Amino acid sequence: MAADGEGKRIDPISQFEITPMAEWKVGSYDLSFTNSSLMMLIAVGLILLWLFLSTGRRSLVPGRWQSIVELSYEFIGNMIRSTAGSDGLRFFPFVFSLFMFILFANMLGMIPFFFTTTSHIVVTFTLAMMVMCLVIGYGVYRNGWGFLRLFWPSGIPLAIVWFVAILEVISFMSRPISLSVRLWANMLAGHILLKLFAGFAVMMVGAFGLFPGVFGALIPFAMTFALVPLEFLVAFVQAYVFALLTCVYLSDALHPGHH
Amino acid sequence: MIRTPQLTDSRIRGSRGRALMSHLLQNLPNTIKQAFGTPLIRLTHASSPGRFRLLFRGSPGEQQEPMSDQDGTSRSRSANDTIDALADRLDAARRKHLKPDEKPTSAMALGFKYATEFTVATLVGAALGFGIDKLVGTSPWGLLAGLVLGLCAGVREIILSAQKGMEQGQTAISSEDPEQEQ
Repeated sequence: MAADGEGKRIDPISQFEITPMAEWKVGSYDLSFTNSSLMMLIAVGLILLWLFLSTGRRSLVPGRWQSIVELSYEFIGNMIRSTAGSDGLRFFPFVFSLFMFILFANMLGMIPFFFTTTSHIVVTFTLAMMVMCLVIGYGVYRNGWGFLRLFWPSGIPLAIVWFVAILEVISFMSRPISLSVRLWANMLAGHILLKLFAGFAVMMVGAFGLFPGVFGALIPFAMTFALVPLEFLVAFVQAYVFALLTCVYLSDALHPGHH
Repeated sequence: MIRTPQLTDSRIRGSRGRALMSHLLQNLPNTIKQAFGTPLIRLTHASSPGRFRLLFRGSPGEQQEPMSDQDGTSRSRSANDTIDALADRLDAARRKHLKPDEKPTSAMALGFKYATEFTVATLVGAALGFGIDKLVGTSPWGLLAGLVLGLCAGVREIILSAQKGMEQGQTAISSEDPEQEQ
């Protein structure tokens, strides 16, 4: 409404706009370098920088930075060991990079004016499809046709096992969607909520002037203040949940048939 | 006061040695707590035993030896070695039973997990039925069957993941009726 004239809109959706920074078209495909790609590059660069710098001095007694790295190593390692067993550790590099990428992308999105890559379902769905392709590929490579035991639960009377098998197939097919939707919707909803309340506080001042408007802005400001730590928690928890479910699915590829 | 010359030996033997061992074993948590407080231990117990021992030796003061008295020096050294060996064994044992302790799953994340699982399973079932309809041409029936099957799959998924969550929370739902576990 009133804010439209200034060129900057106060609406909660414009933060998700993708703007190309360098145009590049191959045929009919648009492969431009966008702000989203930039944020992904920053996330990867930060992870690499962090890991290289803090593991540079491999001391026996770890310093602060080194022990952060060791703690995160053990965090992911224990997660894999407890969900997929010790032979799941062969997927450690994959799960660790996945977790770190999502965590850094989520956390970078919490910085004001930064773009949140994981708030686009294309990104999260690609990550989820990577996981599912790995599960199917490795499951077939390791078990051959035995991978299909995943859909054939043991210990169920033959009369209803085909029914359960159909349900298993449906829930297997829904995995990549629920995996990606969970991360995407959490990030999207959180950022919309933050922007909504923050924008409301600004609009209060804009509508009623500085003196009475500040009191009207107090409540939305308090909401924003309360939401920020919650969003940091969500950013971590969603990265954790994504990695944890990846481990659970990978354990299906390792040991189909008992679950 | 009767001196105990056996204990000045570097090795510990006989019943006295066993008594000392058991005493140390009982007092080890307190000893460690005295040496550098609990949180550091929790940090280090999961990591390599070599690092643990280094930290242990490097700790300031002689507090780590609670029963040092007149014939203290050599005795505390042998006791130190014992503590080190015990610490190594404790580490190994702990690492065997290590579980990721508290999991950062908030109630909201859990609820959202159930919600997406249920919704998505229903939608995927319906989409599958719709696809079969398009392929075979059995217009409403595939969609209907797919919808019902998707709902069943969604409910089943919620039940399974709730069961798993309860097992992790040690509420042991499966102990009540073991048939349901399969």
